Amino acid sequence: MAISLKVNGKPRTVDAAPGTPLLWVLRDHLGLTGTKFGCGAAQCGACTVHVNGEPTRACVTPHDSLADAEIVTIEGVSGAAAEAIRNAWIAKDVPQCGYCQAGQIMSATALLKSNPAPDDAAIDEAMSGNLCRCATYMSIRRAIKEAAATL
Amino acid sequence: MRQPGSLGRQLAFSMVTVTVSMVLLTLVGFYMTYWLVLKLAPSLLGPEDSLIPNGADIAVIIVMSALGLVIASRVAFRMAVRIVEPVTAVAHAARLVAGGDLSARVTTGRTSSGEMTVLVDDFNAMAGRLERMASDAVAWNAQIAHELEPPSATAEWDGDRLECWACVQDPQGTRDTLAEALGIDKANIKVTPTWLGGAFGRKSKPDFVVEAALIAREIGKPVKVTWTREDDIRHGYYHSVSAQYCEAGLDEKGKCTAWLHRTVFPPISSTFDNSVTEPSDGEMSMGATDMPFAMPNLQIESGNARSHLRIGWLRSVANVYHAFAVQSFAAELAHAAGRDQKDYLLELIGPARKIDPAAEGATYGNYGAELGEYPIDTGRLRQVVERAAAMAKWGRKLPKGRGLGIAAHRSFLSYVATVVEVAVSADGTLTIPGVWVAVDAGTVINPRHVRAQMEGGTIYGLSNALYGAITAKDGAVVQDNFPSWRLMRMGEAPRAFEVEIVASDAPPGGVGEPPTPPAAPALANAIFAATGHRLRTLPFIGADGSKLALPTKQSA
Repeated sequence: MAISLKVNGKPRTVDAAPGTPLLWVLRDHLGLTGTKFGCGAAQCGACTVHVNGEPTRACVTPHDSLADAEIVTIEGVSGAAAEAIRNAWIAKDVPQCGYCQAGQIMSATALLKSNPAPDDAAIDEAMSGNLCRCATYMSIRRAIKEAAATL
Repeated sequence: MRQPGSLGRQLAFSMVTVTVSMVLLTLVGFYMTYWLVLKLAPSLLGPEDSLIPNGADIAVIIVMSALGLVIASRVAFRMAVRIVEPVTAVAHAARLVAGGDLSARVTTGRTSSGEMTVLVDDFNAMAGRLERMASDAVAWNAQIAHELEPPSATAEWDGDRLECWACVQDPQGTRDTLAEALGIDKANIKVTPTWLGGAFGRKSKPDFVVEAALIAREIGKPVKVTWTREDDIRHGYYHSVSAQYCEAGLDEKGKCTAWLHRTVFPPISSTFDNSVTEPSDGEMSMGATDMPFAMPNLQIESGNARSHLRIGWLRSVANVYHAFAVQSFAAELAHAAGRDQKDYLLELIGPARKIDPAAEGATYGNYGAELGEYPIDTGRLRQVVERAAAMAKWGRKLPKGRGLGIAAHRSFLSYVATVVEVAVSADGTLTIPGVWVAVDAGTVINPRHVRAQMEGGTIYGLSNALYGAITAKDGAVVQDNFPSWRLMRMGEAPRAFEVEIVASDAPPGGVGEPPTPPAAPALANAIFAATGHRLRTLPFIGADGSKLALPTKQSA
């Protein structure tokens, strides 16, 4: 059944099987491949998007539960916090393989939006749902602090 | 307790006692006997001038001699027991120790002679020292290389040509494997590697590309295959499980003079031929036969092991378990000798010099490089130890429950020393306040990249050491996704991390793999410094919880 979703500020019509996770709708139906598959169980955070501004795991969120929601992906994230995070990510050379980084950036941006000056405990809490096998955690922490300082 | 007299004095005293007793007994015995005979039956005696003893005289002599013999035998028997019993006990305990029971001790209930007491005490002290410092058996559960991007491949078959896009580490090898699997000429196969979302060894094996290619040929349409996380974890190529045994001899000053290292693990080549059980020279060259300690007596042994899983390459490969055993044991020896961990490690490494394992009888590959260009230089290893220790302010006073551990290792032609600080609360909850890494990778072009690899490779090693376990039950891997197969997260990662890159114009070495081997032993040594507990079986925590399983009693 076709359903209308609002993705990155634009209305999109999607015809996917009922219950299809948002992740596969974004990747396979809308061609937004910046959001990654890591576990399918909300354990790694690689698929993190914003739903009404909240960091959300797209791999376990049925797309047909989001008819009235504002969905933002790595391709569309914007604003002062997103800009500060993006610049800090580049300045600190955060990514290694990069696979988890879309999710990391979405979680970090949501953190700065709600808490513009996070301490270490706040960073731990906001970022511990995002796994990084390259273990860029030290760089992520430095970049979040640098981004916060520029806000 | 009264110290018994010396054995020599006891022996001399006993001999004199026996002699004097015999003389006295004979004299007194004869006098008394003849006095009685003269009194009661003088007729029994012969003529006074006869020198030849008659029957009665002979009977007296026999009785007297028998009495003397009995007394002398009793004294001699008691002496023999005193000497022989402790010797037998020592011999029995020595047999047990030789058979591997280092807890055997001599216990003797009787008061021994001085020499025997000293012998027994010395034997017990020697066995105690052997037990204290001789054995270090460590085990490492199987690990999965694992990366966040699951194995994925797209294949298109157009009738006689195959084209694949896949996240593979080795596109040339992938092409060869595909040609064999599909029975076509590799000239008709094109493989385009994609950016890898991590690989760490897993994506050197193209099984998932073959899967996509076979399906594409079967259905005649382009096919994309993406493994689920469960597929990946349960059907991976696993880092080898291993058992390590170390034994050393220390002289009376605590200096290590003999080193034995036994290593057993199913070799990687068993994945391609399951009958292979013997490790390759290449695997032995990763941290075993290139052991850098200055040791007058050195023996490295390998054993055979059959594989029960597909074994693959995991970041730094055999260096992981070899460095864990060698660097943990170095710290155990420092403790046994009552010395500082870092100072003792430097003493084990010895003076700056260049080592050639071939001179010790090993077939050594040196990661494919010439030893002339890329020597095993203990001076460079010493330097990273000293730099890392200085950065961490080694020797500083730490609050209760905190400890520093150090480990150093050369792999992939580079030298890395790692200091880990841990904080362990009374209930075993562990945090890592800081890590300091010094690296000498020769000429460095991109220091930021080196720093990123040092941080990432160290945390990769810490994550595996604390949490990573792959186990099998009923012929299948138990773990399937991140809840049961655990990685270190932001809140568990070190809070501070400093990296120092040693300036060098030597030819460049590796930086991706070298930080991983020293991470686990530095962590284990820090936990020992903080708690007095030596952890030898990896992983230390596992998939659940955040606490170390510390025994209630000191196990040091």
